Amino acid sequence: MARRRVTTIQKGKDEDVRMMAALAAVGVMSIVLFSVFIISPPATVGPNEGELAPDFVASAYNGGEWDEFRLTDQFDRDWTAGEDGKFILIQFMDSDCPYCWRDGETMSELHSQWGGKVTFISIAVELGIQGHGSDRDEIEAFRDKTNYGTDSNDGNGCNSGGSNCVERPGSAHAWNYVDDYNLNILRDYGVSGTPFMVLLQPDGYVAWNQGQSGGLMNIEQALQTYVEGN
Amino acid sequence: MNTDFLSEPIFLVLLAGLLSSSFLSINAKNQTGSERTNTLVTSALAFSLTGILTSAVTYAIYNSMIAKGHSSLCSSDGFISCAEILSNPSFNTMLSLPWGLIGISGFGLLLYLVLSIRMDPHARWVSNHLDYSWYASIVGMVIVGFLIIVELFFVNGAPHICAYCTIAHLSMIGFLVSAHNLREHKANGDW
Repeated sequence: MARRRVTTIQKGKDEDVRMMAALAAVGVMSIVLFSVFIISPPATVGPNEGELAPDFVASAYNGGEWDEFRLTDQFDRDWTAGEDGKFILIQFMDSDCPYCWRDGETMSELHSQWGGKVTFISIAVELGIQGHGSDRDEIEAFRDKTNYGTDSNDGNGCNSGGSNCVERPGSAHAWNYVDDYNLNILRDYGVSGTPFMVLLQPDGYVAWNQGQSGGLMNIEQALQTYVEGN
Repeated sequence: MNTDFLSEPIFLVLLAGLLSSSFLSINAKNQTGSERTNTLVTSALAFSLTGILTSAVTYAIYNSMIAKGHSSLCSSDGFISCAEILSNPSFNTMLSLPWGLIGISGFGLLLYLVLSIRMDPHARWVSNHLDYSWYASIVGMVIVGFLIIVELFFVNGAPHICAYCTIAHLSMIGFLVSAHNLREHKANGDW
């Protein structure tokens, strides 16, 4: 009599282990993340007061040539309140913006008063407004107050293309102008219009943001409060 | 060439994880049946755990570079320099998320897929999980390729190589090989 052969086919476990595997994986990730947060907690990066200013690397014009410029190279990480150190004033501007055109003089005056204690940086952007077409030659001319464009409102030059850049109010600016025509820095700082200013402590944390001051404090008052009061 | 990282205990632990995962993967070649299945799944598990831990270290270095401008685990000059790579504002994040955090999540997903297979190698969904592992590791390889190109051509003073990032990249490659071998092993009916 032939014997029937019993074949065993391995089957999966009755219970579904996927939930247990998911819990184990999430548990491992949670422990790892918790450890990182304890050992090296993440800094709060952003443009708001009390946050670490977003870093950027871009080309900057220093009056002679265009060089790579990195914001964090300006930071003094070891600075503490009360110590000597250079604050950083970041101004967002558009060479075709009429308000920035007028502010050219204000910036010159601020620099002559505060240049020894504050590093000035202008971020040149191109807003999506008709007549605001710009290029690096226009940034150079705006900064240096040199001959560029005409006064005949033909779109060629600074101030919505209506002025020759050599006539910009104020003196030539002796600080870096950063090319942000791709608007990456503008977006990182949440800026919606120009001119716009942010004042950083020497260690890179935002001391004053024009958008947060609610009109209670202008840049002169902010410099007096944070730089002089330091 | 800066080789300070070779004396870092954390680097050596991660390197040991990578080497033992690779040993398991190679060792599985001489095995058959369920023994081979187990060894391959264990090697995939080891690769994903090494990837999670390495990503965590790069995330910790990134946090330190952003907050303090330096990290004790990371040299800032020379060809092998993670400082230039992990602190570069143009390339150190994707959609505002640091690559280390993305790495922890990605390897965490791979860990879930292979851990579920390890816990029940004969479940009916095992083939699906093997396929998901394979597709996810292909996506991971595309990201690894992109990051290597960034290291070699785009960061400040390129080329630079980040030693910790390289361990994570090699873990991804190792996982891909293990996932491929597992699928092949399953298709051969020798599971």
